[in-house]
Amino acid sequence: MKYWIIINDVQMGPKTLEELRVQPGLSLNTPIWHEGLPDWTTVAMIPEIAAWFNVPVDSYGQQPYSQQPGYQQQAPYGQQPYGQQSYSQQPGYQQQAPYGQQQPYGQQQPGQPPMPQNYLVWAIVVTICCCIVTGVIAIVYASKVSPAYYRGDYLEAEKASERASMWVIISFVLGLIVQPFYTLFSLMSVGA
Amino acid sequence: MTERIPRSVLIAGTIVAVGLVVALYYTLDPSTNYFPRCMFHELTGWQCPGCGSQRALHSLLTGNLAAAWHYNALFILEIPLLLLLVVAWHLRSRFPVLHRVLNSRSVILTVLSIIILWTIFRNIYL
Repeated sequence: MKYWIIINDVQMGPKTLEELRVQPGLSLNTPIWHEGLPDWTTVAMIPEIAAWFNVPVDSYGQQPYSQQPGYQQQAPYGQQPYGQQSYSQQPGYQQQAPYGQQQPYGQQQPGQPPMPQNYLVWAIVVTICCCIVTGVIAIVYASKVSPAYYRGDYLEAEKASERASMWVIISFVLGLIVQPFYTLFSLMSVGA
Repeated sequence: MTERIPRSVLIAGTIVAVGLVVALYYTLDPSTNYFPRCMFHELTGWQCPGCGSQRALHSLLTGNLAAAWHYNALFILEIPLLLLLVVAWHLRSRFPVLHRVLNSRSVILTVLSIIILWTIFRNIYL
């Protein structure tokens, strides 16, 4: 997905999630738009980006700020000179999150992207069936998906998921290409 | 990909594929027929973590659990684990905690260490 943002009255975009991650001056109040949105909003309303500003308290039950009641009233876009303050300068930011209203352990919250698949089943299958080394790499990446996701780092979870699926595919291709040749070879040497 | 293929086709395909594999391994004995051999074992002489899985599956399907366990104990243990993982993934909205625990880093890395330790163990002691 591509995003457009406004920092210091300058509109920028299209930008990818990776580019936004290193974008200087990006704050929770930065105006942002992406396809599918009816109008411009602020970064705080985009869960996958707002999560970067969410200092982890513990590994469970974190919420992007956009879903926490009370946040919406804080910065009505357009009434504040945007781009001039970073979120760390806003007083009392951390304290605004009303804890105790957190969602039950492990449940997906509205607006949160779904957890990317970790392909663990396939990773185990290829490890056992053909390709130990590439299968083990796939398992290691699979193990990174859910911790990153529950930390709120959706970008990292997505990346680990893609890597896991890539190594599963590599294992499959290796197995499917090499095995028939190998079987043929061993049949021929039996016959010889 | 899952979005483009209708769910019914996926389910039907899975049932057919599983049925074919079961039928094949039920009727034919992998140790006497031309079944694919483990490249790792042929090349190195060592047993890979999955070596014996085909014979174990055949033994399991023909009701010889002891032989199946003998051919590959890890394979026998992994069948319920893999089934559980698949079920947990599809019911993840109803049982979020189960899905989350099964996919946690510690559980996955435990499974990985068991596979590695099993490979070392079987090559030394079995």
